[in-house]
Amino acid sequence: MEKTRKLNFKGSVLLLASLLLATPGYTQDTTPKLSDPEVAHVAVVANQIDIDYAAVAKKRSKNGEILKFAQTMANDHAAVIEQAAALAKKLGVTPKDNAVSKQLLEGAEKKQKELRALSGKAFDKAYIDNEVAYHQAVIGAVEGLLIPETENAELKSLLKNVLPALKAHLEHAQMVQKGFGASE
Amino acid sequence: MKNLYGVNRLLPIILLAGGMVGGCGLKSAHTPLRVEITIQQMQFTPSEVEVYMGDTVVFVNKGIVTHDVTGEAGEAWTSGPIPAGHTFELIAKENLPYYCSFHPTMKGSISVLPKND
Ligand SMILES: [Cu+2]
Repeated sequence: MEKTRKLNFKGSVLLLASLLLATPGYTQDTTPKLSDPEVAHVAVVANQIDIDYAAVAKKRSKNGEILKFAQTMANDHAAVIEQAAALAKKLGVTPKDNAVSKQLLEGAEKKQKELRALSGKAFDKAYIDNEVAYHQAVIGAVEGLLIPETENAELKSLLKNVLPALKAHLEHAQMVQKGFGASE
Repeated sequence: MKNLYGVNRLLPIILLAGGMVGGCGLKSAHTPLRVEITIQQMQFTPSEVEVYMGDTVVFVNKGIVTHDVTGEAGEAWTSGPIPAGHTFELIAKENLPYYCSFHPTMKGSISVLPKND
């Protein structure tokens, strides 16, 4: 289990990286590989995915700690989307579909299917394991790819502002995960 | 790092009051103060404050998500949700080690000194 999770995480980061590198039509260091509208869309999608995971948890979990965590994820990520949408509107930017956002969605659909097949403690454990891995991957993508790719200063600063919340979510998820790990 | 907010802010006010009232002076009970704690970047800042009993502590949520202030002690007292852009006030009565129940990595404490009268 542990091994699979690590492989999945590593896989998704590698996938993100290779997608970005493979995106055609840009010269290496002058032009960003993702345009700002694309970065904005990736940010919205990445947040929406965690809201969707939370919705699955609300249906499938009966554990108070998991339910409260899921509710916080739903609230916080919705707040980030609201901010991103407001900024996009202000900047006159229409978030744009792209290879990275599509790949994120595909991965999330697969994971959701897996989660929906589980219940009880097995679900809780799988959900929180995924929350840890997902937040790690998103933090990696925001720090390593999205922030560097962003040209607009306000979009960049929004992404930077979101990082502490993502990191707090990760630590929180790891705390909850420890509780589940102990009983296995 | 302890923050002696209460004490630092108290001095000028006592001096001013002493000057104006002329005499009843430095030993009188101090005027209650307002001490501000900012919630931003998933932190309470300053995370540790020292105030006098009766002072008002104001939590100002300058972050992007909802937080709360929940007592660490047994029968958990809580402020309830403090949405982004909102504030929450309490009157300092006793020491309050606290955390955010939505984000348990966020912690802080209020130490309450007795009134010096
Ligand atoms: Cu919080």
